[in-house]
Formats: sequence, C-alpha cells, structure tokens
Amino acid sequence: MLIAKLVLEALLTYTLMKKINSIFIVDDDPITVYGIKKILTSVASCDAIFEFKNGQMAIDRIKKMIIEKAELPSLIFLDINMPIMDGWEFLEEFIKLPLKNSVNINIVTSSIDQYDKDKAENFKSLTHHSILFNSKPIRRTEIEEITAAISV
Amino acid sequence: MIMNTPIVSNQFLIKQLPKPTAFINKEFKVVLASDKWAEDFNFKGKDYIGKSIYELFDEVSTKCTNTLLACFDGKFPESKIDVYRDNSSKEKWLEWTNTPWYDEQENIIGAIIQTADVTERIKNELKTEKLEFQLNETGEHGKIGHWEYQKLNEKFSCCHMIRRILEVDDDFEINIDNSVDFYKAGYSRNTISMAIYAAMEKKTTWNEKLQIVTAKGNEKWVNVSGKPLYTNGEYVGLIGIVQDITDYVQKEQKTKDNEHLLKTLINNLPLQIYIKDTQSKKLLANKSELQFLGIENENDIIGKDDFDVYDKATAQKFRDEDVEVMISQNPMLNKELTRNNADGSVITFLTSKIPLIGDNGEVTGLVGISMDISEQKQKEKELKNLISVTSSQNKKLINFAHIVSHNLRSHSANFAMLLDFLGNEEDEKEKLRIMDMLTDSSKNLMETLHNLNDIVAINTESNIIKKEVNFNKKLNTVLKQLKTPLNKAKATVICEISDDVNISVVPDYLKNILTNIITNALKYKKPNVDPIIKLSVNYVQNYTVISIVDNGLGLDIKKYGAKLFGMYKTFHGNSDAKGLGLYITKNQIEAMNGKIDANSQVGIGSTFNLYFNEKN
Repeated sequence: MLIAKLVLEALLTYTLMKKINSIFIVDDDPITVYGIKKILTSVASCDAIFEFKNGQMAIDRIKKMIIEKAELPSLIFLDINMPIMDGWEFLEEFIKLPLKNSVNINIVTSSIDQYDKDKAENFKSLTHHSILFNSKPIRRTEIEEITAAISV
Repeated sequence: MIMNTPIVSNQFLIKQLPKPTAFINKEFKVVLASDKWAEDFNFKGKDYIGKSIYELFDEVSTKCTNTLLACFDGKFPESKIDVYRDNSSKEKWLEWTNTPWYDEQENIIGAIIQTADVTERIKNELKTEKLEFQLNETGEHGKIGHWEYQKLNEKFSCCHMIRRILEVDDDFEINIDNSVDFYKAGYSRNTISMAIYAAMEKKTTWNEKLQIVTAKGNEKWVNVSGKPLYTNGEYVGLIGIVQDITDYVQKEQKTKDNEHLLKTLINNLPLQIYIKDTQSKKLLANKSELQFLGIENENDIIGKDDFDVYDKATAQKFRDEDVEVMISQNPMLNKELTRNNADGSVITFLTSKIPLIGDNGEVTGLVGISMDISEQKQKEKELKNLISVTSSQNKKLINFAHIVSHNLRSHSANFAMLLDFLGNEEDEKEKLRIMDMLTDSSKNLMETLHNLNDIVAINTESNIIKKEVNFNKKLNTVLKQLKTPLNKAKATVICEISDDVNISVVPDYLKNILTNIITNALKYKKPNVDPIIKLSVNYVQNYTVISIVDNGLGLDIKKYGAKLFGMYKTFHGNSDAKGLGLYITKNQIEAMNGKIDANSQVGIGSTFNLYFNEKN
C-alpha cells in the first residue's frame, strides 16, 4: 500500500515536473545561484545545471560544446554585472554564434534601470534567441512560467 | 536856302554858347549851332550848316521827328533823355530840350535843340538805385537796420528794420537817449554808452555784440557798429547799424551745446571711439582710446595713422580692414580681435568700423568703436570651466547613485529571496544553510555601506588640507605595513626617486593610494614570476608625476581601459577582488586636484601614473 502510494506519487511527480535538458546559470553571486537552483529543482526536472562565475567562462564552454557537437543548453540564466565578461558582453558574443535552435536567455539582474531594459530589448531585436528581462529577486512563479514555456 | 531863313545878326554869339545848341528850320536843316554842339557830335571842321539832321545823324528816331514837329506847332515838349553812341561807340546819356524858334514877328521858323550830357548823373542815379536796393535787401535778409543822428537839430532817424528789431510802432519816437535804454541793463548798456561817448569825444568807432530788450520785452542779440561824423573836423553826428543776430547766436549756442553733449558722451562711454579720414589718419579720439594708446593729449594722435602707434603687422591688418570698409561701404560689426602683449597677456577686443558717407555719397572716412572684452572673455572661460567641472561632478554623482541603488537592491533582493525560502523550508539542515547565507548577505551589505560611506567622505570633504610630505618617507611607511604580503610574494620594490622629493598631498590619501597600487601589483602578479615594482618621478607642467611599473599579468587596456577605475569592476576573476580599490584611488587623487592614468599590456605588466598637482 505504502509502496503503491510512493510509486504513484513518483509517477505523478514525473508527469507534473517538466523535463528540460541542461541549464546554464551565469552569475557571480553564490546566493542568487543557490536560489535559482533551489526553485528550478522543485519545478522542473533537468539533466544538468551548470554554473559559471562570469560570461567568459560560459561562452568558452558553449564554444567547446559547439565544436564537440554536444547538445546546447536550452535555458540560460544570465546576470549583468560580472567581472571579466559581463552579461552584455556575453550576449554580444553569443548572438554571433551560428546556432540554429533558439535558446531561452533569462536576464536576472538587480537593475531596474530603464536603460538596461531597453538594452535587453535591443538585443532581442537582433537575434532569433528568446531574451527575457527579470529583476531580482526571482520568484518561483516566474521560473515556473519559464520552464513551462520550454519543456517538451 | 539859308538866305530864306532870317539870320540873326549876332550869329557869333550863338556860336559861343557854352551849352550845345542847334537851330533847325522847318526843313530839319541846321541853320545855326554852337561850337560846343559841333564838338559834342564830332562835326567840328566839317560842313554841317545847311545840312538836314537826317543827313547828319545815322539814325533819327520817329520820336525825335515828332518832337521837332511839335515845336514847329508852337508846343514845348518835355525834355527827353536818350542814349547816344558816337563813332567810337562810346555810350553817352544826353538830355534833349526842344523849344520852338520864333522870328522877330513871333512866327515859328523852326526849333531850337539843346543837349546836355547827363551821363554822370544817370550813372550816379543808377548807382544810388543799386545801392539802395542792395541796402534794403541786405537789411531785410540780414536783419540789419541803420540809423543816423544829427547833432545840430538833435534829429535821430532810422530805417524800418530798426523799428522791427526793437519791436516798436511806426509812431514811436526814437531819440539818441531812449535808444540806449533798449540795451540790456548791465554790460550791454554800459558798453554802448561808453562807445557813443568815446565816439563823440575821441572820434572812435565801435563794433560790439550786445543784448537788447525789445519794447515787447523779448531779449535779442544784436551786432552794433557805428562811427562819428565830422564836417571840417567838427563833430556833427553819428551813424550806425544794428543787426539782429539772435537766430545766429541761438543756433551757435545750440550747436555748441550739441557739440558739448556729444563730446561729453563720447568721452565718457566705456568704449574706444575714433574717427579716421580716408587715409586712415585719426581725426578724433575719445578719452578711452587715448588711455588705451597711452597718450595724454588728443592733439598728439590727430593726423597720425596706425603705423605710428602699432607694430607694422598689426597696423597693416587694421589698414586693410579700413580700406575694405571704405571701399565696400559696408560696416564691419563686432569683429573679435586679439592682441598679444609683450608681457604674454592677451587682450580681446570687439571692434566695429562704420564708414562715414558724405552728402554726395562718397566715403569721407570711418568711425571705429572698440571694446576691451578681455575680462568678459576670462569670465566666460572660467564659467566654461565651472560648467565642465559641474557637469563632470554631476555625471559622477549620477553614476554613484546608480551604483548605490544597484548594490543595495542586489542585497535586498537576496534577503527577500532567502526569507521566502526560509518561510517555506521544513528541512532543518537547509534552514541553517539559509540562515548562514542571510548572515553573509547581511555582512556584505554592511561592508558595501561602509565602502560607499568612504567614497562619499572623499567626495564631500570640503576643505581638503594638503601638506608637504617627503615622498620616500611615506613610501617606506607603506612598505613597512605591507611587509608580510611583500615577503610572501617575494616581491622587489625599486625606488628611483631621490630622497629630497616632496609632494603636496593629503597624507592619508597618499598612503591609501600607494597601498592600493602596490597591493594590486601583488594580487595580479604572474603565477611563476616574482613581482618587481619600480617607482620613478617626472615633472609635467604643474604636476609631479609618480609612475609605478609592475611586471604582473597586465590587462587589455583597449578592452578594459574605460572601466579600469570604475566602481565594482573586476577583471581577473580573483575571489578577493572587490572592484573598489582603484575607484577609491581615483577619487582620492582627484579630490587633491590630481589625476591618474594607466598603461598595461597582457603578459607584460602595468604602469600607473599618479599626477600630483602642486597648486592648491
């Protein structure tokens, strides 16, 4: 009985939880990374979550994946203020990459500046990737919407 | 034929008549004539007796014939004056008097013609007429009246103009005494009284400009002149003229007033004003212009040109402008000119040149107006500097506000998120983890606030007090404090600055700046190379420049140069990089009126140049 219940719950959870392949989190703030991961694991199931402390590390990994013909992440959480290569510089590099499939990029920033929102809009108009602007703190509902939109 | 005419026995008497006389019979033939008559008409020595007047004279007018016929009829026609031209065509005015000629029986047998040469009289009459006309007209136009005084009968006579000047009626009786009363009491009356007295006693004449008060009480200016009259050395009276010159005096006064006003105005305007003729020679220069040229007397500049005052190049430039304005007849307005003084100062002028155009449309010269606007220029420059400083401060402030809000927001966002988790978390271990993160976040927030406070302190310190410090002494203090990290990194510090170099700084700021840059050199050293830090000094304009060179990692200055001194910018991914050090360094050096720049190359190292302003 108990086992049956557990199996049922597991089945239920499996069908309710969204299945997403790899997710990138590019942010130098460990607390934000922790938060995004915590919400993600509770709303969707995912093969792998990769963390990067700056844009440079993330773009290097993506370039490597293209060469190795590995499956690219379908979702990227991107901070703006980071050392070495910031979020904008990452976007500039990323949209230049020869990618057929659209990648969902979620900008997660503590900025509420209109200037930054306009900049994100501008990037959106330059590429086929989907770019979304979110202000911190990121909410569970927001991540649910994001994952629902992309899960298969 | 002569026999038919009764002959007067005393024929020789007629010949000697002193007046030109001719006896004409009814056939118009000359029967007798005085020698004077023959002489006057050039018949002397010629045979004229018995000849008709029509034979003797080239022309005999009908009027003359009619006059003679009237005499034959016993009438006495009036004398006639006619012009007569003899062979030499000299003009003569003759008065002809014709009377009937009777014989002893009272029968008219002809006419007696007598002529008188009245040329002189006619000429005098004409002259008098002309003079009278001229006198009247001159009197009328020039408002000149004349008067005469005869001592004998105390008679005073004057023309109409005198009455008009005095504004008296025609029946007002003017005499020598009451005429003096018309002169204004005081100087005018005294002068005229003295003049008349002197004329009577000492035969002197007078010519004075005086004031009168007319019968109607109007004041007038008059020019009076006069002289005494003498007959055989005896004083018989006075003549004189009076000219009303009120209009002239008033006009003259008005012109003088205007001139005075204009002169006062020109001299007191804070502008340099001059007038030049077509040769660019000065005709006028006002006080400001004289002052500017360092000339005391206007006469020392009149008639001179710019070549006498300025150097050749400047004078030629001005002359070219003058010529351009005068030829084109277009004014040159508000042109800015600068002039370098010998002492290195620069004067800026606003100059206008306006052509002077005469009645006939030709240029007669030009008026120049110059204003020294050096002071305004200086103020304008200062204002521009101030605006530039303000706008840069403003930019800095906006940037700072932006950073503050961004940083505070990022911390508060973390708080919100963690607290949300904590509320929903049931796992005790996870709860503790979240609590730890909240504590870290809180610490970070405190630190951020502390840093921001430091930066605000640097930027709001209103009285930055700079002190002269010995650079090497200060450097040694810093090195002593950094002894442990320097030794750990096996760093070598080479100071090429001599011990006598002093710089004017806020000591704490200098210490902080040096600590920061040296610490950076250690932080970003190449992994397997011992750091070498070299310090040197240079002097550029007003700055003492301290250069600090390291052999560290270096960075791509093209890519990061703009952000290098920005807040919260880090470049190497080190976990202890806060992105604050160089931001504070820059703020501190700028607060001391200095500046900082950097050169760097990846793999070679970095150079920081610190510009310390020696002035306060």
